[in-house]
Amino acid sequence: MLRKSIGILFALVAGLSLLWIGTDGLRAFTAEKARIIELEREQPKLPSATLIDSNSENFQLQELKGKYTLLTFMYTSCGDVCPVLERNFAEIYENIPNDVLGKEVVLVSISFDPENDSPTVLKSYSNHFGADGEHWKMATIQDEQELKNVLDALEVVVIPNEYGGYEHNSAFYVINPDGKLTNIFDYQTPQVVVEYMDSILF
Amino acid sequence: MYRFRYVMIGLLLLLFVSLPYIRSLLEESMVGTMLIQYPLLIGSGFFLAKGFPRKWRGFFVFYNENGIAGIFTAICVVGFWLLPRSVDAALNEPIMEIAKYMSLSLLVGVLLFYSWQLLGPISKAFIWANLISMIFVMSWLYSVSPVRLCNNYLVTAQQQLGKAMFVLGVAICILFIGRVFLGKPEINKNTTMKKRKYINLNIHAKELDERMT
Repeated sequence: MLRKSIGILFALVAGLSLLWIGTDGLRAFTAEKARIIELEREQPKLPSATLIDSNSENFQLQELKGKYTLLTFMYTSCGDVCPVLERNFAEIYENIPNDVLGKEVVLVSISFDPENDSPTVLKSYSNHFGADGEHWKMATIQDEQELKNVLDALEVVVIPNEYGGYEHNSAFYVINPDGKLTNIFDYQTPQVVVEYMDSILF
Repeated sequence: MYRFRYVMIGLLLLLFVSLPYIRSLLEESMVGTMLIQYPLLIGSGFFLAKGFPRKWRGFFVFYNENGIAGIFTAICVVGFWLLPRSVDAALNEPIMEIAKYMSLSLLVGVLLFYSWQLLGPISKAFIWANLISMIFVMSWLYSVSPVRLCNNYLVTAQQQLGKAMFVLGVAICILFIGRVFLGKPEINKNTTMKKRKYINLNIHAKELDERMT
C-alpha cells in the first residue's frame, strides 16, 4: 500500500514538474509564446546590417540607436498576414504624436524578400499604407548573411510555402535606444503597443 | 528464443525510425510526426519490454502494483512531446531529438507494457474514455486554429493533422463497437495438433468459442 502511494506520488511530482518546466509555468504551449517569453528575458542586441529603403538610400541599423524602434518583418507579395500586420502598424503610426515621431520613435518594416522587393516596389507599398519613408521606413537587407543574422537574432522563422510565398511568424518588435530588443507584441493588438509607448515616453 | 525475437523487433523498429531517410520522410508533415513516428517509437519500446528478462519485471512491479504510477508517468511524457513547442524543439535542436527518441521508446514504451497489464478495469476504462474524447477535441482544435501552432509546419499541415486525428478517433470507436459484437480477438498460439477443421481461422473469437463447445 505504501509502496504504491510512493510510486504514484513520485509519478505525480515528476510528471507534473516535467509539464510545468516544459510550458514555462503553463504559459507557453507553442514555440511562438516560448520564444517571446525567452526573448523578453534575454533582450538580445540587434546585429549590424545595411538596409536599402524605399528611396534607394542606404542606412545602417546602428543609426537607429538613441531612439525607440518599432520593427516588423514582411514581404510585399504576402497575401494574408502582412497586409493585416502593416495595416495595424499604420494604426500605430497614426496614433503616435507627431512631436515624438522621428525624434524618439521610428518605425521600420523590413522585408525578407530582397529579390522581389526593390525600392520601387517598397515605395508603392509604403504609399499604400501611408508610410512617409522618413519616420516609417520600409527597407530590405541585401546581404544574405546579414539578413540571416537579423532574422536569427530575433528568432523569426521564415519557411517558403507552396504558393511561392513565405510563411513566417509575425509580431511587433520594440527595440530600445541601446539597440536591444525589449518587447514583442501580438500583431493583432496595435493599441497595446501605443499604450506601451505612451507609458515609456511620458 | 521468443524473448530474443521481441527484443530484435523492438530494436529494429527503433533503428528503422532513426534512419535519416525515414526520419526526414516522417518529419516532413505533421501527420507523419505525430501519428506515425510517435506510435512507432512507443511501439518499439513496447516490443523491447516484451523481451526483457523475467527478473527485471520485479523492478517495474515493485512501486507500481496497480499500474497507475507507470501509466501516469507515460501519459505526462507523451503529453510533453505533444506540445507544439516540443515538436518544434525536437525539429530544431538535435539534443531534444535524441531525448525524444530515448524517452518515447525506452521510457514510455516500457512503462506502458508493464503498467497496462497491472491496471484494473476501472482505470483502463477511464483512460480509454479520456483518450477517445481527447483525440476528438484535439482534432477539432487543430482543424480550426487560426494561428500556426508549430513554427516548422504550415497551417495546411495542421488542418491535415486535424482530419487525420478525426479518422483515428472514428477508427478506435469502430474497433470498440466491433468488439461488442464480435468479442475480443485472440491470436491462437497452440502448438499441439488440433482436430482438423473445415474452416481454419487463425484468430478466434473467444466468446463464440466458449459458447459453441
